[in-house]
Amino acid sequence: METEEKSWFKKYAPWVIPFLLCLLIVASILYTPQLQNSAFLVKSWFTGINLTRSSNAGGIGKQIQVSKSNLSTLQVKLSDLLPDKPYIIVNTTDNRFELRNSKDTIRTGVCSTGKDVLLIGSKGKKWLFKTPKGMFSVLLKRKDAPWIKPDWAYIEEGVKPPSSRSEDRIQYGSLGKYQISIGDNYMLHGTLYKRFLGLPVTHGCVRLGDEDLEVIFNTLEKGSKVFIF
Amino acid sequence: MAKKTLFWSITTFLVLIVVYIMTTTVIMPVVTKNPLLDTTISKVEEKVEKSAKKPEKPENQAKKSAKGEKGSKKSDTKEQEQVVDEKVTTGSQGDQLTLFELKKTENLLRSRYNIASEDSMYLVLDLIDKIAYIELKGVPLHKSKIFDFTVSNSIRMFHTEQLLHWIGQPFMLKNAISTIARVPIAVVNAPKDTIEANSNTVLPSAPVMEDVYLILNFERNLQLIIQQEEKIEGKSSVDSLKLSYKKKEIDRTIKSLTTFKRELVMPQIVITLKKSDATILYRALPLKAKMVLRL
Repeated sequence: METEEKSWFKKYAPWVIPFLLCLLIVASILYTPQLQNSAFLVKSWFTGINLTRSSNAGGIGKQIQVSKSNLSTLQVKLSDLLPDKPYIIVNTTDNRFELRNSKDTIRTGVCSTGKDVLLIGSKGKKWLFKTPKGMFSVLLKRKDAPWIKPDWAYIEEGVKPPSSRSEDRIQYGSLGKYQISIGDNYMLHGTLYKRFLGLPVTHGCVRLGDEDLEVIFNTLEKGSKVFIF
Repeated sequence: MAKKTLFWSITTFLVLIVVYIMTTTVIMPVVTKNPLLDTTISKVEEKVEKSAKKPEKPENQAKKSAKGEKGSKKSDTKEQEQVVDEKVTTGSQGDQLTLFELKKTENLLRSRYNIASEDSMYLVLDLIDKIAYIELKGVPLHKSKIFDFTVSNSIRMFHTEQLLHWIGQPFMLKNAISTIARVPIAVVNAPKDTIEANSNTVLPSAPVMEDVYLILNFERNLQLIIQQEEKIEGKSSVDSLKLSYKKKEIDRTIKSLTTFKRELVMPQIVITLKKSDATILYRALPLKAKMVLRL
């Protein structure tokens, strides 16, 4: 019996083993994306890179001309998308701003943006101090406007907030000389803490240095775009 | 006996090579689930043939583009553009390459223009100019230089038409794995009184820049890996992320082998950016961000 088995093995093993190996290779190539990727390279050695797939009547020169024409049209369309008025871009990761006029940069500098903190009050009330991202418009421009201190500012200091109409809430000079409102109580404004410019320390607004703020205030108009990312 | 063993060893080796080559060149292209199916291409061709029946003269196009200043914003896009013929026709190799490059650029611009109507930020990945930038409403917000990139062979092997069609539409992000938090929010409990508030006061400092390694999986099975240019110092989160991802991949492969369920080819692009740029890109893009590609 043993000899029979041995002879069977001797007879078929040289064919069965390579066959099984071949099957394993085929299966592993077909079933694993990584091996398929390497297999594409091997294919390219033998077949080269396929530049074309089908041929079609018609001049290639004409197609190139049409494509060039389409390119110039699209470039014009894209440049039309740029805002007509000067606009500002605020980078919340690097805490920097860039004031632009169409394609040109007017001014760049440091600013301070949201500190990304979630404050949880005693009654479970939550405030997220984060600068919103996206496209906004200048809604209002004001000079020397007071800051009406909100509840979270008191809670953060460990103080009970006064009544909403209390005059204690009104603070002058905290927001600098100029304030540019972009909606939802978010503003571009000045700061008393100039040493913190360039750091994420605000409660969501964008703080700027005095000189930068003056230029931005004088450049941006009502309706100008504010891009924050 | 020794001769016989040598003979069979050499024969087996040669057979394996032949099988591998046959699989890669003949079997695989036929049976592999490619993200680009021929059916989608033929549909495009049909559409193109129909719309290309009334082509506009290139001179008129040039005139229109010259006029196209601010007033042309609201004009109908269909009037201004000619539909691009997706077919690359016969011609010299040089002409074909020129046309191919032009069409890729055209694809990029068209995708950027179309996507600009949306409210979300999107990523523009231009591997020809080696630049990656985030854009919103057609306004480039932040440009990053790509120091190095690799494109997987599966992308290289696409036919021109397939490639043009594949990159013709923006890719939408499905999921992402990263070593950094997308929104690094710190949770703080309100102090009970002023004494506690004063004791908690910490002078603000610049946030620590962590090592960055991002794996972004887009639809159409495209995988974009963003790695940092700066050297990774010591044992980092990057290694652990790579290891855990490899484990997942191996599990997936074993599962597909055991269940006889084939996976799609995964075209992969790996780009190298500055650490800060990679962080900015990742944190600026929304969860379901779109990407426009030129390669």
